[in-house]
Amino acid sequence: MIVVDKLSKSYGEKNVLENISFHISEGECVGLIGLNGAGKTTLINILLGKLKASSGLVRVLQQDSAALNREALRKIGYVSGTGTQLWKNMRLRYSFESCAAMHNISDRDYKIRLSELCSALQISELLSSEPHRLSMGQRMRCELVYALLPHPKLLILDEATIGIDIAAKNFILQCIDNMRRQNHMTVIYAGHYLKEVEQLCERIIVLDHRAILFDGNLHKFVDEYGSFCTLKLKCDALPDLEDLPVEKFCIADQNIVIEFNKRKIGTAEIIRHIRQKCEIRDIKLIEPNLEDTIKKIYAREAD
Amino acid sequence: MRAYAEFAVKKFRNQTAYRMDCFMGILKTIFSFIVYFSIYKALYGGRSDVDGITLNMVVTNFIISLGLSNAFDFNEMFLPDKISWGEISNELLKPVSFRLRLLSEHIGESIFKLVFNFVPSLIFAAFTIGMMPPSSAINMLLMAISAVMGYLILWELSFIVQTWSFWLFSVWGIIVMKNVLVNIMTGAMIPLWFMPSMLRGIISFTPFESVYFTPVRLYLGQISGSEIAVCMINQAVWIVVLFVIGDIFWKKGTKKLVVQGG
Repeated sequence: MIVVDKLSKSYGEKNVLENISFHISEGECVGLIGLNGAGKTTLINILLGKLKASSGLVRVLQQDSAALNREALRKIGYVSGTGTQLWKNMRLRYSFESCAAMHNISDRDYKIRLSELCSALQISELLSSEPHRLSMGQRMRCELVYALLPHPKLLILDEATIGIDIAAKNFILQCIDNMRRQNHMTVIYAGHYLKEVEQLCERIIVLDHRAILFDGNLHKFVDEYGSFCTLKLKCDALPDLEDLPVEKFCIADQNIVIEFNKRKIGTAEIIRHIRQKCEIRDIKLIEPNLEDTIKKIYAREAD
Repeated sequence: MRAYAEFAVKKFRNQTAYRMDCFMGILKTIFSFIVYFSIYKALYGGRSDVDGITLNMVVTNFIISLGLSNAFDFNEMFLPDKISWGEISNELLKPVSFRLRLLSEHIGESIFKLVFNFVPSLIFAAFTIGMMPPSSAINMLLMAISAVMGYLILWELSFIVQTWSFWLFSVWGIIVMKNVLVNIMTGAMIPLWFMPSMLRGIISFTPFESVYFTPVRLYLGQISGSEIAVCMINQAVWIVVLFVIGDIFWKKGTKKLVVQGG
């Protein structure tokens, strides 16, 4: 489906991507994560042919990505948090109808698909309004409907769920996942956070500083790098933490901060231990964020 | 082709939502008719003709050319806006030709304005100001064909200027200048009959004359025999030439986009 080999991209002197290689087979769902400026969007733009690579091979749907023909473009769905595919100043209905016309979807299929997608993403009542009248969350849901209407073979989501609340986000990811299984769709989901991709993807590619930092199974990544958590507690007495196999702890007044490795000890075990001595008033578990995880990977490489 | 027809129909139907805009458009056209009529009536000062050109011919000229220019008015900032907002590369992901899509949408809009702006203003003008009837049914038909070609020339000219926004920060000023040039050189403001012969000579080597003046002269029956073919071939040649120029700018612009990013 996608083959990238020794891809580099630079704007003048500035290198944005260096020596990137990976391939994605049909039906795979890949999370592309990285911090701001890691090169996610540039990579996606190159895959879509919006940008041309400075060097290296990029093939999408058996074609050179810089010269995708219309037949290939018809098979790609794309949603970006920053751009829009909808027709401005036109009612939404027209955007969807134009989409159907461009993709040669029959009237009958169009009606069925539209009603399915509209009820799934809850935008039925918006069809007669123009895109600029919509809220961010509403617009992103409409963009998704627009991208999914032609039943794409390849769906590329670039920060596609910004502005959507958590409940709706989970629901949307569920919809995409169902569609992926039904239509054998390949999905690339770019985002900032591990959490976002967890629900959808089995494989992740972590980009940092122009290069691929990790490419493989998501669970392996979390196990290897993401098992250090922080627990913040408020107790009415001081517990005894000396005999727990935690990495580090710190007690100030009634506030306790514990850093621990999930693989050595579970959260439940720590809490059970503390509750033997005192009552817990407040509790907060902080999962590792991507930034910390990336720092840890570098630390390990430096060893 | 189905998609492009849909684009035109969509734009036409979307336009029907803006009734106030449509109504104000008719008022604008009628108002400009009245202003021009008053000016030329005063200039003629009761004389029957100036150099063989009657007031009636002048009135017919500006009713057709101003009426058409109001109907052919489309959003010329569409492409520049898309480029400056960085949205153009998303538009290029749509599996259709961007230029043809733009043209189809503008055709849909223009057909709407022809029906709901040009025709009502024309009827109003025919009953109040009074214009000359077409010299024959065939001339009417020729004028219609010629006006369509004039539209394509106007559209190509606009497209060329719009593509310059790939290189320039703002093309708004250039578009305004282009439109002033179009208004004067096409004879929409001052009929080309009154232009000094040297200026007229220069204009005959530009595409401007073919936009409104050729249709007007066909309507009035001022062109006859083989000259009709010459004028229409002249229009067709301009369409091809401007298309090629537009194509060069478009291809260079999109290439720049792909290499340097939006």
